[in-house]
Amino acid sequence: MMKKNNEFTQEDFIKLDYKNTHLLKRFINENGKIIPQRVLNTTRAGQTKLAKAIKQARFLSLI
Amino acid sequence: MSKLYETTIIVKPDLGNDQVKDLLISINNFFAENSVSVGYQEDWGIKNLKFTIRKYSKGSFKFFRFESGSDFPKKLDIFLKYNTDCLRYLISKSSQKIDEITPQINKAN
Repeated sequence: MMKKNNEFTQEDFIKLDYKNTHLLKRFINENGKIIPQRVLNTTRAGQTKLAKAIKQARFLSLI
Repeated sequence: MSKLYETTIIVKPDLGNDQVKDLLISINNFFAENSVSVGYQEDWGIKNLKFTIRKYSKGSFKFFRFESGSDFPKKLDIFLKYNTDCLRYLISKSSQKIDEITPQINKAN
């Protein structure tokens, strides 16, 4: 099966943080919106952590 | 019980060297007054903001990681809220080690 560009791995889950903007940019589309859980195929916990990190980075105007 | 916290502060980019030094001294004094030691400190430099904050399109980013009780972040929040040189700040719990290098330090924005 072809590997998706925006696949969410276990390693990403540990690294996920508002400071790691290079990683966060993989999970937002060109309009800056968060890619939904059904597309990323993440767990509920993963998507919650991702959403929190992206919103904190947005608040600090990093992404 | 003490926990690990971190704060990122966006400072006005047009401050002189002396003013930045004074600000950092005042922040460090505030930590010392409350008997909290700054575990780790970083300067991310001047970065382009993705949207303007109080008519500034650039900001100087400072990062602090510290270990304290639960009442100190509330005091720090009030201290930074009324600081005129500080454009925006974020205080959060830290899940990293106290002296872990952040990914922002070695990356150009």
